[in-house]
Amino acid sequence: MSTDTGHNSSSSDGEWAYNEPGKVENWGHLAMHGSVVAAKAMTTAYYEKESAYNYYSGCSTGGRQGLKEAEYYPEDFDGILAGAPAWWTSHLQPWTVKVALYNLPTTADYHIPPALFPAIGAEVLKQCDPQDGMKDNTISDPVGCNFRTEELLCAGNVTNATSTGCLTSPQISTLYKIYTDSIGDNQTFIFPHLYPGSEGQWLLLSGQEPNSLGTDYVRYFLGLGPDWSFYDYNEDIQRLADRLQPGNASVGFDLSAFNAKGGKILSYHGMADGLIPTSSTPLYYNEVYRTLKPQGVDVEKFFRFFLVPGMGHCSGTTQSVNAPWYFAGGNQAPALGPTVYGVPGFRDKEHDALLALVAWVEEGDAPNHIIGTKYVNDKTQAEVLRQRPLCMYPKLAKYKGNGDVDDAGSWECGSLY
Amino acid sequence: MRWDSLYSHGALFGVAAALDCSPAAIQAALPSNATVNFAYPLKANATFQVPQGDTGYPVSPVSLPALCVVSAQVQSVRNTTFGFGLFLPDDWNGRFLAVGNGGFAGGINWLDMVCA
Repeated sequence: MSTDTGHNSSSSDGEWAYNEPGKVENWGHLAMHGSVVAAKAMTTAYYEKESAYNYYSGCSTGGRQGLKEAEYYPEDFDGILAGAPAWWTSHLQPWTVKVALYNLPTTADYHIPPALFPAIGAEVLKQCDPQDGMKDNTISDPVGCNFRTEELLCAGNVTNATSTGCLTSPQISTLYKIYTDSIGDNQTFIFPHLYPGSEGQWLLLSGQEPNSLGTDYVRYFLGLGPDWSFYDYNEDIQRLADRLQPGNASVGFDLSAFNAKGGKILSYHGMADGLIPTSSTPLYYNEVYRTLKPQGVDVEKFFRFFLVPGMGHCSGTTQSVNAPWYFAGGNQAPALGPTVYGVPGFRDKEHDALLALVAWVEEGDAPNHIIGTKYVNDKTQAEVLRQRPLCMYPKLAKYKGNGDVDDAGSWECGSLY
Repeated sequence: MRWDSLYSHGALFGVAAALDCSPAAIQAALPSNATVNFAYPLKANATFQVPQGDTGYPVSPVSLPALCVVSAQVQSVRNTTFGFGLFLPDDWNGRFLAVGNGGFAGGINWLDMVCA
């Protein structure tokens, strides 16, 4: 089952939302819930039997829709797989404008041209890859990386920074902003920063203007209209979004009703995500933890999440990293090919996140990790390049000290301390 | 839903359709606030042609198992509607799966309905 969310548009086009609060509410949560209710009724009539179990899988906005269902409509699903959830709509979208402005206009001396992103990514990999305990071309602990930005600074004799692959001092300042949380007046936390290691997917920083996922939100969801200039962005925009909460799309933290009915949530987020900062998922998880633990709820018994080193937004990895990113999460199979489903060669709950969720719901078998797979050739899936456990937060995969580093059995999930 | 992977995991029960895969039969099975857009059967290994003009998810899923494809429209707030699509497989494993959307996209994500 899939809903159209109540309108017809591409993923980057938000013009349909202008002066249409009903459509925005449909997109926010009404269309998914209403579609689930109607589709279940139709299914029951068609087979003369109710479904035994009900599942959800989605990534990005799809991840948000899954968490929203758990919050608002806990009766709809038994198991929810929610990838890279865009759960904080009222902050993620304005931040999408703000982060772009760090690097605009393109004529500014502090502007970092996209041609320099690979050089920045290479320096991050050089410094951060060994700091996670294993030099394997994959950054497994970006938060633990002590990154010295100034190693990228140009020498005195450089005349063309971009062709040399180095940064000027004003550009270094931009880089600092990119790797720093967005903080507002009175030390108000606004939004987390992109992780070091996400440089291969810096789409939000590469244009002549901010991504329309930011500007269309301000223009059409917040109602400032098509003439609003993104250069007029300021913190009032954020306050307006907080006040309006268009479509009630943002997800709250009280998932106690979903827990009480026995529902399970599996979530995940790629550590190289350049569209939704990776740490927005640990942020959400810890907010749920802060809400429910004082109520006596053991959060890990119904909600677990996995960080995926080297994975971009929902799927994929840069060629220089080749991280094991595939586990049949939302939207992942079409990235391999049109007839792909599940995890080719590994159709089991250890490698397939949806099957892991099914085993948790139907057999009470709670997953401590999912094994991610990288095929030599993603299109044929004939041969595996490497596999590795993706560990339940806050654990990290640690090399056991012997065995093939590309074999999942050579790794175990361990604590940082 | 191509939940073949779940068959190895164990079908909960083998169920066959009790209704015809026709607009009239499907309409009768829908709640009163919903109207069928189309409903027709597809044979095994068929392609579902995504309707022309669908902007959000234009890619047509291929190599489907035998199923009944359904699209319906539901009344919502402020004189709006939303639609949904559903694949009802001839050989059903007893599980219901919903999939999500992306960004601001509007459209039935037919492709992800198959690939899970």
